[in-house]
Amino acid sequence: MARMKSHVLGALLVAATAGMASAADQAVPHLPNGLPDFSSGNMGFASDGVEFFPVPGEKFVPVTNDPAHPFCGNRRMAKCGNQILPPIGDTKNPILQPWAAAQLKRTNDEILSGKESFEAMSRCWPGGVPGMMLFTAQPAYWVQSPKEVTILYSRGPYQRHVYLNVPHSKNVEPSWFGESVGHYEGDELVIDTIGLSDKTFVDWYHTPHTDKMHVIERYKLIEGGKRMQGMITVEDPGTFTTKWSGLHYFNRQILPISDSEYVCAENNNANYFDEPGQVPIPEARTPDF
Amino acid sequence: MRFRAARMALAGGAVLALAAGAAHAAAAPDITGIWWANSYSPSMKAYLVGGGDIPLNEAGKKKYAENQAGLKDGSLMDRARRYCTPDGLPRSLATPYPFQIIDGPQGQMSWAYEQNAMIRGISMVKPLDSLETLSVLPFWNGHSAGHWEGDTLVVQSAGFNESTLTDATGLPHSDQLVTTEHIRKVNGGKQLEDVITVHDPVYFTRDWQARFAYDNHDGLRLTDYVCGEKHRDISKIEGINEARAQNAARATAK
Repeated sequence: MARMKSHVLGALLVAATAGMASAADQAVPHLPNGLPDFSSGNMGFASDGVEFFPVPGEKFVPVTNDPAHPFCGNRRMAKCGNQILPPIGDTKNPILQPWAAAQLKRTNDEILSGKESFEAMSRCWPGGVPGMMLFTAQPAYWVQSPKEVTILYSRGPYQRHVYLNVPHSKNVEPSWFGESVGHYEGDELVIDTIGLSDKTFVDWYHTPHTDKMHVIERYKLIEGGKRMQGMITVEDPGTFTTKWSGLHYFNRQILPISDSEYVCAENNNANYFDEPGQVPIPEARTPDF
Repeated sequence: MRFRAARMALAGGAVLALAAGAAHAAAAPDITGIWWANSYSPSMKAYLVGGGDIPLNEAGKKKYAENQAGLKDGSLMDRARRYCTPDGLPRSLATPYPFQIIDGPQGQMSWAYEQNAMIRGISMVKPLDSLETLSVLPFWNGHSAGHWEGDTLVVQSAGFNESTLTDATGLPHSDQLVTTEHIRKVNGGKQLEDVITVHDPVYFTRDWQARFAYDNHDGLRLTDYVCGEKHRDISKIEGINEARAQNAARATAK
Protein backbone atom coordinates (compact mmCIF):
# COMPACT_ATOMS: atom_id res chain seq x y z
CA MET A 1 0.00 0.00 0.00
CA ALA A 2 2.78 2.38 0.99
CA ARG A 3 4.68 1.45 -2.20
CA MET A 4 1.57 2.09 -4.31
CA LYS A 5 1.07 5.42 -2.64
CA SER A 6 4.68 6.29 -3.36
CA HIS A 7 4.33 5.33 -7.03
CA VAL A 8 1.15 7.37 -7.37
CA LEU A 9 2.73 10.34 -5.67
CA GLY A 10 5.82 9.98 -7.85
CA ALA A 11 3.73 9.87 -11.01
CA LEU A 12 1.77 12.89 -9.87
CA LEU A 13 5.02 14.75 -9.19
CA VAL A 14 6.41 13.94 -12.65
CA ALA A 15 3.18 14.96 -14.28
CA ALA A 16 3.08 18.19 -12.28
CA THR A 17 6.70 18.99 -13.11
CA ALA A 18 6.21 18.29 -16.80
CA GLY A 19 3.16 20.48 -16.71
CA MET A 20 5.16 23.28 -15.08
CA ALA A 21 7.99 23.10 -17.65
CA SER A 22 5.50 23.14 -20.46
CA ALA A 23 3.65 26.03 -18.85
CA ALA A 24 6.88 28.05 -18.66
CA ASP A 25 7.44 27.61 -22.38
CA GLN A 26 3.79 28.29 -22.97
CA ALA A 27 4.38 31.61 -21.26
CA VAL A 28 6.55 32.91 -24.10
CA PRO A 29 5.19 36.10 -25.60
CA HIS A 30 2.81 35.85 -28.53
CA LEU A 31 1.60 38.32 -31.12
CA PRO A 32 -2.13 39.13 -31.26
CA ASN A 33 -2.40 36.66 -34.15
CA GLY A 34 -1.05 33.87 -31.95
CA LEU A 35 2.38 33.63 -33.55
CA PRO A 36 5.41 33.66 -31.24
CA ASP A 37 6.67 37.18 -30.64
CA PHE A 38 10.41 37.32 -31.07
CA SER A 39 10.80 41.02 -30.46
CA SER A 40 8.32 42.14 -27.81
CA GLY A 41 9.52 44.45 -25.07
CA ASN A 42 12.47 45.67 -27.11
CA MET A 43 13.88 42.16 -27.19
CA GLY A 44 16.97 41.45 -29.19
CA PHE A 45 18.98 38.25 -29.01
CA ALA A 46 22.70 37.77 -28.64
CA SER A 47 24.54 34.53 -29.23
CA ASP A 48 25.35 32.51 -26.13
CA GLY A 49 28.73 31.12 -27.09
CA VAL A 50 30.24 30.45 -30.47
CA GLU A 51 29.62 26.75 -31.10
CA PHE A 52 26.92 24.40 -32.28
CA PHE A 53 26.10 21.68 -29.77
CA PRO A 54 25.03 18.11 -30.48
CA VAL A 55 21.32 17.43 -30.59
CA PRO A 56 20.51 14.86 -27.90
CA GLY A 57 19.88 11.47 -29.43
CA GLU A 58 21.35 12.32 -32.83
CA LYS A 59 24.11 10.06 -34.13
CA PHE A 60 26.00 12.71 -36.09
CA VAL A 61 27.22 15.82 -34.36
CA PRO A 62 28.52 19.21 -35.53
CA VAL A 63 32.25 19.82 -35.80
CA THR A 64 33.53 20.66 -32.34
CA ASN A 65 37.01 21.29 -31.04
CA ASP A 66 39.82 18.84 -31.45
CA PRO A 67 40.08 17.13 -28.05
CA ALA A 68 43.83 17.80 -28.04
CA HIS A 69 43.19 21.51 -28.41
CA PRO A 70 40.43 22.84 -26.16
CA PHE A 71 38.88 26.04 -27.41
CA CYS A 72 38.91 28.92 -24.96
CA GLY A 73 37.18 32.05 -26.09
CA ASN A 74 36.76 35.25 -24.13
CA ARG A 75 34.27 33.77 -21.72
CA ARG A 76 36.19 30.62 -20.89
CA MET A 77 39.68 32.03 -20.60
CA ALA A 78 39.66 31.94 -16.81
CA LYS A 79 39.45 28.15 -17.11
CA CYS A 80 42.40 28.08 -19.49
CA GLY A 81 44.99 29.87 -17.41
CA ASN A 82 43.58 33.26 -18.45
CA GLN A 83 44.51 32.83 -22.05
CA ILE A 84 42.44 32.71 -25.19
CA LEU A 85 43.01 29.54 -27.19
CA PRO A 86 41.99 29.52 -30.83
CA PRO A 87 39.32 27.24 -32.28
CA ILE A 88 40.92 24.06 -33.66
CA GLY A 89 38.28 21.84 -35.29
CA ASP A 90 38.09 18.08 -34.95
CA THR A 91 39.11 16.76 -38.37
CA LYS A 92 38.14 13.21 -37.34
CA ASN A 93 34.44 14.04 -37.25
CA PRO A 94 32.87 11.46 -39.60
CA ILE A 95 30.49 14.00 -41.10
CA LEU A 96 33.38 15.54 -43.05
CA GLN A 97 34.14 14.52 -46.60
CA PRO A 98 37.89 13.88 -47.05
CA TRP A 99 38.54 17.21 -48.77
CA ALA A 100 36.74 19.12 -46.05
CA ALA A 101 38.71 17.32 -43.35
CA ALA A 102 41.93 18.07 -45.24
CA GLN A 103 41.06 21.75 -45.56
CA LEU A 104 40.17 21.91 -41.90
CA LYS A 105 43.54 20.35 -41.06
CA ARG A 106 45.37 22.90 -43.18
CA THR A 107 43.57 25.71 -41.39
CA ASN A 108 44.30 24.14 -38.01
CA ASP A 109 48.00 23.78 -38.88
CA GLU A 110 48.21 27.43 -39.89
CA ILE A 111 46.58 28.57 -36.66
CA LEU A 112 48.77 26.31 -34.54
CA SER A 113 51.82 27.73 -36.31
CA GLY A 114 50.83 31.20 -35.15
CA LYS A 115 48.66 32.56 -37.93
CA GLU A 116 45.70 34.61 -36.72
CA SER A 117 42.44 32.67 -36.78
CA PHE A 118 40.05 34.35 -39.24
CA GLU A 119 36.66 35.10 -37.74
CA ALA A 120 34.39 36.67 -40.32
CA MET A 121 32.54 39.15 -38.21
CA SER A 122 35.67 40.20 -36.35
CA ARG A 123 37.00 41.28 -39.75
CA CYS A 124 33.69 42.86 -40.79
CA TRP A 125 32.73 40.14 -43.26
CA PRO A 126 29.26 38.56 -43.18
CA GLY A 127 29.10 35.31 -41.25
CA GLY A 128 26.78 33.65 -43.77
CA VAL A 129 24.28 30.96 -42.80
CA PRO A 130 24.42 29.24 -40.35
CA GLY A 131 27.66 30.95 -39.28
CA MET A 132 25.84 34.21 -38.60
CA MET A 133 24.06 32.59 -35.64
CA LEU A 134 27.35 32.37 -33.79
CA PHE A 135 28.41 35.98 -34.06
CA THR A 136 25.74 38.05 -32.41
CA ALA A 137 27.69 39.38 -29.44
CA GLN A 138 25.55 42.44 -29.89
CA PRO A 139 21.80 41.99 -30.23
CA ALA A 140 20.06 40.90 -33.39
CA TYR A 141 16.39 41.66 -33.85
CA TRP A 142 13.87 39.27 -35.39
CA VAL A 143 11.37 41.76 -36.81
CA GLN A 144 8.16 40.09 -37.90
CA SER A 145 5.92 41.38 -40.70
CA PRO A 146 3.10 39.51 -42.43
CA LYS A 147 5.23 38.52 -45.44
CA GLU A 148 8.73 38.61 -44.02
CA VAL A 149 10.89 38.14 -40.98
CA THR A 150 13.77 40.59 -41.18
CA ILE A 151 16.72 39.74 -38.97
CA LEU A 152 18.61 42.94 -38.27
CA TYR A 153 22.08 42.52 -36.79
CA SER A 154 23.06 45.70 -34.99
CA ARG A 155 26.71 44.70 -35.17
CA GLY A 156 28.04 45.04 -38.67
CA PRO A 157 25.47 45.93 -39.51
CA TYR A 158 23.94 43.01 -41.46
CA GLN A 159 20.49 42.03 -42.58
CA ARG A 160 18.76 38.76 -43.41
CA HIS A 161 15.46 38.76 -45.20
CA VAL A 162 13.28 35.66 -44.71
CA TYR A 163 10.32 35.62 -47.09
CA LEU A 164 7.35 33.85 -45.56
CA ASN A 165 5.17 31.17 -47.13
CA VAL A 166 6.75 31.29 -50.58
CA PRO A 167 8.90 28.73 -52.39
CA HIS A 168 12.51 29.23 -53.33
CA SER A 169 13.31 30.96 -56.62
CA LYS A 170 14.18 28.74 -59.53
CA ASN A 171 17.78 29.88 -60.04
CA VAL A 172 19.42 31.38 -57.00
CA GLU A 173 22.73 33.14 -57.47
CA PRO A 174 25.03 32.36 -54.53
CA SER A 175 25.34 35.21 -52.07
CA TRP A 176 26.63 35.76 -48.56
CA PHE A 177 23.26 35.11 -46.90
CA GLY A 178 21.66 33.03 -49.66
CA GLU A 179 17.94 33.03 -50.25
CA SER A 180 15.82 32.36 -47.18
CA VAL A 181 12.17 31.40 -47.13
CA GLY A 182 10.28 30.56 -44.00
CA HIS A 183 7.09 29.64 -42.23
CA TYR A 184 5.81 29.07 -38.73
CA GLU A 185 5.12 25.66 -37.26
CA GLY A 186 3.31 26.35 -34.03
CA ASP A 187 5.71 28.35 -31.93
CA GLU A 188 8.70 27.66 -34.18
CA LEU A 189 9.97 29.85 -36.97
CA VAL A 190 11.42 27.58 -39.65
CA ILE A 191 13.88 29.10 -42.13
CA ASP A 192 15.06 27.31 -45.25
CA THR A 193 18.14 28.72 -46.98
CA ILE A 194 19.90 27.87 -50.21
CA GLY A 195 22.21 29.73 -52.55
CA LEU A 196 24.94 30.30 -49.99
CA SER A 197 28.28 31.48 -51.30
CA ASP A 198 31.17 29.18 -50.44
CA LYS A 199 33.12 32.20 -49.18
CA THR A 200 31.73 31.65 -45.69
CA PHE A 201 32.39 29.02 -43.06
CA VAL A 202 29.78 26.95 -41.29
CA ASP A 203 31.22 27.66 -37.85
CA TRP A 204 34.09 29.13 -35.86
CA TYR A 205 36.20 26.06 -36.64
CA HIS A 206 36.28 27.18 -40.27
CA THR A 207 34.34 24.17 -41.53
CA PRO A 208 33.93 24.82 -45.27
CA HIS A 209 30.93 24.17 -47.47
CA THR A 210 29.94 24.29 -51.12
CA ASP A 211 27.40 26.63 -52.67
CA LYS A 212 24.97 23.69 -52.75
CA MET A 213 24.61 23.69 -48.97
CA HIS A 214 21.03 23.64 -47.71
CA VAL A 215 20.34 24.86 -44.19
CA ILE A 216 17.14 24.56 -42.18
CA GLU A 217 16.97 26.65 -39.03
CA ARG A 218 14.28 26.25 -36.39
CA TYR A 219 13.94 28.99 -33.81
CA LYS A 220 11.79 28.94 -30.73
CA LEU A 221 11.58 30.92 -27.54
CA ILE A 222 12.27 28.98 -24.36
CA GLU A 223 12.41 29.66 -20.64
CA GLY A 224 9.48 32.01 -20.80
CA GLY A 225 11.07 34.01 -23.62
CA LYS A 226 14.33 34.72 -21.80
CA ARG A 227 16.27 32.59 -24.25
CA MET A 228 15.89 31.40 -27.80
CA GLN A 229 16.90 28.03 -29.13
CA GLY A 230 18.08 27.63 -32.68
CA MET A 231 18.44 24.22 -34.25
CA ILE A 232 20.15 23.84 -37.62
CA THR A 233 20.01 20.92 -40.00
CA VAL A 234 22.63 21.01 -42.70
CA GLU A 235 22.78 19.08 -45.96
CA ASP A 236 25.69 19.44 -48.35
CA PRO A 237 26.72 16.14 -49.94
CA GLY A 238 29.72 17.87 -51.48
CA THR A 239 31.10 18.62 -48.03
CA PHE A 240 29.39 16.29 -45.57
CA THR A 241 28.89 12.56 -45.61
CA THR A 242 25.48 12.91 -44.05
CA LYS A 243 22.85 15.38 -42.97
CA TRP A 244 23.63 16.65 -39.49
CA SER A 245 22.04 18.88 -36.89
CA GLY A 246 23.25 21.20 -34.16
CA LEU A 247 21.84 23.38 -31.43
CA HIS A 248 22.65 26.92 -30.45
CA TYR A 249 21.24 29.30 -27.88
CA PHE A 250 20.68 33.00 -27.64
CA ASN A 251 20.20 35.21 -24.63
CA ARG A 252 17.59 37.90 -24.62
CA GLN A 253 18.91 41.45 -24.50
CA ILE A 254 16.47 44.17 -23.63
CA LEU A 255 17.74 47.04 -25.75
CA PRO A 256 15.66 48.96 -28.27
CA ILE A 257 16.96 48.75 -31.79
CA SER A 258 17.03 52.55 -31.79
CA ASP A 259 19.73 52.37 -29.09
CA SER A 260 21.78 49.68 -30.80
CA GLU A 261 24.43 50.59 -33.37
CA TYR A 262 27.78 48.80 -33.65
CA VAL A 263 29.63 49.63 -36.83
CA CYS A 264 32.32 47.04 -37.41
CA ALA A 265 34.49 49.24 -39.62
CA GLU A 266 34.58 52.06 -37.08
CA ASN A 267 37.99 53.32 -36.03
CA ASN A 268 39.61 51.51 -38.93
CA ASN A 269 43.17 52.03 -37.94
CA ALA A 270 45.64 51.26 -40.67
CA ASN A 271 48.14 49.82 -38.23
CA TYR A 272 45.60 47.31 -36.98
CA PHE A 273 43.90 46.36 -40.18
CA ASP A 274 47.10 46.03 -42.19
CA GLU A 275 48.73 43.75 -39.66
CA PRO A 276 50.57 40.92 -41.44
CA GLY A 277 48.46 37.79 -41.64
CA GLN A 278 45.20 39.61 -40.92
CA VAL A 279 42.49 39.33 -43.52
CA PRO A 280 41.73 42.92 -44.55
CA ILE A 281 38.29 44.29 -43.73
CA PRO A 282 35.98 44.86 -46.73
CA GLU A 283 37.09 47.92 -48.62
CA ALA A 284 36.03 49.69 -51.80
CA ARG A 285 39.20 51.00 -53.45
CA THR A 286 36.96 52.68 -56.02
CA PRO A 287 33.88 54.48 -54.63
CA ASP A 288 30.68 52.74 -55.62
CA PHE A 289 29.13 56.12 -56.54
CA MET B 1 26.03 77.01 -23.58
CA ARG B 2 27.45 74.79 -26.25
CA PHE B 3 24.35 72.63 -26.45
CA ARG B 4 21.81 75.27 -25.55
CA ALA B 5 20.38 75.96 -28.97
CA ALA B 6 20.25 72.31 -29.92
CA ARG B 7 18.74 71.42 -26.54
CA MET B 8 15.93 73.90 -27.18
CA ALA B 9 15.35 72.39 -30.61
CA LEU B 10 15.18 68.92 -29.09
CA ALA B 11 13.00 69.93 -26.12
CA GLY B 12 10.36 71.51 -28.30
CA GLY B 13 10.27 68.46 -30.52
CA ALA B 14 10.06 66.14 -27.54
CA VAL B 15 6.96 67.82 -26.13
CA LEU B 16 5.34 67.68 -29.54
CA ALA B 17 6.36 64.05 -29.94
CA LEU B 18 4.66 62.92 -26.75
CA ALA B 19 1.47 64.84 -27.43
CA ALA B 20 1.15 63.94 -31.06
CA GLY B 21 2.15 60.34 -30.57
CA ALA B 22 -0.63 59.74 -28.07
CA ALA B 23 -3.24 61.41 -30.24
CA HIS B 24 -2.38 59.73 -33.53
CA ALA B 25 -1.10 56.27 -32.61
CA ALA B 26 -4.36 54.59 -33.52
CA ALA B 27 -4.52 56.13 -37.01
CA ALA B 28 -0.91 55.65 -38.15
CA PRO B 29 -0.69 55.36 -41.94
CA ASP B 30 1.30 52.55 -43.49
CA ILE B 31 4.58 53.67 -45.04
CA THR B 32 6.17 50.26 -44.86
CA GLY B 33 7.59 48.64 -47.95
CA ILE B 34 10.45 48.97 -50.37
CA TRP B 35 11.34 52.47 -51.57
CA TRP B 36 13.90 53.55 -54.15
CA ALA B 37 14.95 56.94 -55.48
CA ASN B 38 15.07 57.32 -59.25
CA SER B 39 17.80 59.97 -59.21
CA TYR B 40 20.96 60.80 -57.33
CA SER B 41 23.22 63.77 -56.74
CA PRO B 42 26.42 63.86 -54.70
CA SER B 43 25.53 67.42 -53.64
CA MET B 44 22.88 68.31 -51.07
CA LYS B 45 22.35 71.49 -53.11
CA ALA B 46 20.41 69.44 -55.67
CA TYR B 47 17.85 68.55 -53.00
CA LEU B 48 17.65 72.01 -51.38
CA VAL B 49 14.10 73.15 -50.84
CA GLY B 50 13.72 76.58 -52.38
CA GLY B 51 16.93 76.24 -54.41
CA GLY B 52 19.90 78.57 -54.05
CA ASP B 53 22.97 77.79 -52.01
CA ILE B 54 23.42 75.88 -48.81
CA PRO B 55 23.52 78.61 -46.10
CA LEU B 56 27.01 78.05 -44.76
CA ASN B 57 28.39 80.51 -42.23
CA GLU B 58 32.05 81.55 -42.23
CA ALA B 59 33.14 78.56 -40.15
CA GLY B 60 31.13 76.30 -42.43
CA LYS B 61 32.66 77.75 -45.59
CA LYS B 62 36.14 77.27 -44.15
CA LYS B 63 35.43 73.70 -43.08
CA TYR B 64 33.77 72.89 -46.43
CA ALA B 65 36.80 74.19 -48.33
CA GLU B 66 39.07 72.08 -46.11
CA ASN B 67 36.94 68.99 -46.71
CA GLN B 68 36.82 69.53 -50.45
CA ALA B 69 40.59 69.91 -50.61
CA GLY B 70 41.02 66.86 -48.39
CA LEU B 71 38.78 64.69 -50.52
CA LYS B 72 40.65 65.85 -53.62
CA ASP B 73 44.16 65.15 -52.35
CA GLY B 74 43.19 62.08 -50.37
CA SER B 75 44.00 63.49 -46.93
CA LEU B 76 40.31 63.22 -45.97
CA MET B 77 38.88 59.75 -46.31
CA ASP B 78 35.24 59.35 -47.25
CA ARG B 79 34.72 56.37 -44.95
CA ALA B 80 31.15 55.81 -46.13
CA ARG B 81 32.43 54.98 -49.61
CA ARG B 82 35.80 53.48 -48.67
CA TYR B 83 34.80 51.22 -45.77
CA CYS B 84 31.01 51.37 -46.17
CA THR B 85 30.35 52.87 -42.77
CA PRO B 86 26.93 54.52 -42.43
CA ASP B 87 26.44 57.72 -44.43
CA GLY B 88 24.81 59.64 -41.60
CA LEU B 89 22.04 62.19 -42.11
CA PRO B 90 21.00 63.71 -44.38
CA ARG B 91 23.41 61.92 -46.73
CA SER B 92 21.81 58.49 -46.18
CA LEU B 93 18.57 59.86 -47.62
CA ALA B 94 20.29 60.37 -50.99
CA THR B 95 21.06 56.66 -51.37
CA PRO B 96 20.70 55.40 -54.94
CA TYR B 97 19.94 51.92 -53.62
CA PRO B 98 16.56 50.66 -52.39
CA PHE B 99 15.65 50.56 -48.74
CA GLN B 100 12.90 49.00 -46.67
CA ILE B 101 10.71 50.53 -43.98
CA ILE B 102 9.48 48.03 -41.43
CA ASP B 103 6.95 48.62 -38.69
CA GLY B 104 8.77 46.92 -35.85
CA PRO B 105 10.10 45.79 -33.46
CA GLN B 106 7.36 46.71 -30.98
CA GLY B 107 7.45 50.43 -30.29
CA GLN B 108 10.03 51.00 -33.00
CA MET B 109 10.24 51.45 -36.71
CA SER B 110 13.22 50.18 -38.67
CA TRP B 111 14.79 51.41 -41.87
CA ALA B 112 16.88 48.71 -43.57
CA TYR B 113 19.05 50.12 -46.35
CA GLU B 114 20.59 47.91 -48.99
CA GLN B 115 23.55 50.31 -49.30
CA ASN B 116 26.14 49.54 -46.66
CA ALA B 117 23.43 47.34 -45.05
CA MET B 118 22.67 50.37 -42.86
CA ILE B 119 20.00 50.05 -40.21
CA ARG B 120 18.19 52.98 -38.64
CA GLY B 121 16.06 52.25 -35.62
CA ILE B 122 13.46 54.85 -34.69
CA SER B 123 11.83 54.86 -31.29
CA MET B 124 8.13 55.54 -31.51
CA VAL B 125 7.47 55.49 -27.78
CA LYS B 126 9.91 57.88 -26.21
CA PRO B 127 11.32 61.27 -27.15
CA LEU B 128 15.01 61.82 -27.75
CA ASP B 129 17.29 62.25 -24.79
CA SER B 130 19.11 65.55 -24.43
CA LEU B 131 22.03 66.28 -26.70
CA GLU B 132 24.36 66.10 -23.70
CA THR B 133 23.19 62.53 -23.03
CA LEU B 134 23.29 61.48 -26.67
CA SER B 135 26.74 62.94 -27.17
CA VAL B 136 28.15 60.35 -24.73
CA LEU B 137 27.54 57.65 -27.34
CA PRO B 138 27.08 59.33 -30.70
CA PHE B 139 25.89 57.19 -33.56
CA TRP B 140 26.84 57.35 -37.24
CA ASN B 141 23.18 57.79 -38.18
CA GLY B 142 22.32 59.57 -34.96
CA HIS B 143 19.69 58.57 -32.44
CA SER B 144 16.12 58.88 -33.70
CA ALA B 145 12.66 59.26 -32.23
CA GLY B 146 9.45 59.58 -34.19
CA HIS B 147 5.76 60.27 -33.89
CA TRP B 148 2.82 60.66 -36.23
CA GLU B 149 1.20 63.97 -37.08
CA GLY B 150 -1.76 63.02 -39.20
CA ASP B 151 -0.39 61.27 -42.27
CA THR B 152 3.19 62.40 -41.63
CA LEU B 153 5.86 60.61 -39.67
CA VAL B 154 8.02 63.18 -37.91
CA VAL B 155 11.45 61.87 -36.97
CA GLN B 156 13.92 63.83 -34.93
CA SER B 157 17.56 62.75 -34.82
CA ALA B 158 20.56 63.95 -32.87
CA GLY B 159 23.68 62.56 -31.27
CA PHE B 160 25.63 62.19 -34.49
CA ASN B 161 29.32 61.39 -34.51
CA GLU B 162 31.56 63.62 -36.58
CA SER B 163 32.81 60.84 -38.82
CA THR B 164 30.26 61.48 -41.55
CA LEU B 165 29.89 64.15 -44.21
CA THR B 166 26.63 65.92 -44.94
CA ASP B 167 27.09 65.08 -48.60
CA ALA B 168 29.57 63.47 -50.96
CA THR B 169 31.15 66.82 -51.87
CA GLY B 170 32.40 67.29 -48.30
CA LEU B 171 29.65 69.46 -46.81
CA PRO B 172 30.40 69.39 -43.08
CA HIS B 173 28.35 69.01 -39.93
CA SER B 174 29.19 69.23 -36.24
CA ASP B 175 28.17 67.13 -33.28
CA GLN B 176 25.44 69.64 -32.60
CA LEU B 177 23.53 68.57 -35.69
CA VAL B 178 19.83 68.00 -35.09
CA THR B 179 17.60 66.88 -37.95
CA THR B 180 13.84 66.71 -38.26
CA GLU B 181 12.28 64.67 -41.04
CA HIS B 182 8.72 64.87 -42.26
CA ILE B 183 7.97 61.65 -44.07
CA ARG B 184 4.73 60.90 -45.88
CA LYS B 185 3.28 59.24 -48.91
CA VAL B 186 2.60 61.52 -51.84
CA ASN B 187 1.46 61.21 -55.45
CA GLY B 188 -1.46 58.97 -54.61
CA GLY B 189 0.69 56.77 -52.40
CA LYS B 190 3.06 55.80 -55.20
CA GLN B 191 5.93 57.81 -53.72
CA LEU B 192 7.38 58.55 -50.33
CA GLU B 193 8.59 62.04 -49.56
CA ASP B 194 11.16 62.85 -46.88
CA VAL B 195 11.75 66.53 -46.17
CA ILE B 196 14.60 66.92 -43.72
CA THR B 197 15.33 70.08 -41.76
CA VAL B 198 18.99 70.46 -40.90
CA HIS B 199 19.83 72.44 -37.76
CA ASP B 200 23.53 72.97 -37.09
CA PRO B 201 24.40 76.47 -35.90
CA VAL B 202 28.12 75.63 -35.88
CA TYR B 203 28.30 75.61 -39.68
CA PHE B 204 25.09 77.09 -41.04
CA THR B 205 23.54 80.56 -40.77
CA ARG B 206 20.07 79.11 -40.45
CA ASP B 207 18.12 75.88 -40.65
CA TRP B 208 17.67 74.55 -44.17
CA GLN B 209 15.63 71.80 -45.79
CA ALA B 210 16.28 69.13 -48.37
CA ARG B 211 13.63 67.02 -50.07
CA PHE B 212 13.96 63.42 -51.18
CA ALA B 213 11.40 61.35 -53.04
CA TYR B 214 11.24 57.61 -53.52
CA ASP B 215 9.19 55.34 -55.75
CA ASN B 216 7.48 52.30 -54.31
CA HIS B 217 9.03 48.98 -55.31
CA ASP B 218 7.12 46.49 -53.20
CA GLY B 219 8.02 43.02 -54.41
CA LEU B 220 11.68 43.95 -54.90
CA ARG B 221 14.05 42.08 -52.62
CA LEU B 222 17.03 43.80 -51.01
CA THR B 223 20.33 42.11 -51.77
CA ASP B 224 23.58 41.70 -49.89
CA TYR B 225 25.92 44.67 -49.92
CA VAL B 226 29.52 43.99 -48.97
CA CYS B 227 32.05 46.78 -49.37
CA GLY B 228 34.14 46.53 -52.50
CA GLU B 229 32.05 43.79 -54.09
CA LYS B 230 29.78 43.97 -57.10
CA HIS B 231 26.32 45.31 -56.28
CA ARG B 232 23.06 45.57 -58.12
CA ASP B 233 23.08 47.61 -61.32
CA ILE B 234 22.09 51.21 -60.52
CA SER B 235 23.29 52.69 -63.79
CA LYS B 236 19.70 53.58 -64.71
CA ILE B 237 19.43 55.90 -61.69
CA GLU B 238 19.59 59.42 -63.10
CA GLY B 239 22.82 61.11 -62.08
CA ILE B 240 24.73 57.98 -61.12
CA ASN B 241 26.79 57.74 -64.26
CA GLU B 242 27.81 61.39 -63.92
CA ALA B 243 28.75 60.89 -60.28
CA ARG B 244 30.84 57.84 -61.15
CA ALA B 245 32.53 59.74 -63.98
CA GLN B 246 33.41 62.55 -61.55
CA ASN B 247 34.91 60.01 -59.14
CA ALA B 248 36.94 58.48 -61.95
CA ALA B 249 38.19 61.89 -63.07
CA ARG B 250 39.17 62.76 -59.50
CA ALA B 251 41.05 59.49 -59.15
CA THR B 252 42.91 60.08 -62.40
CA ALA B 253 43.84 63.61 -61.37
CA LYS B 254 45.54 62.44 -58.12
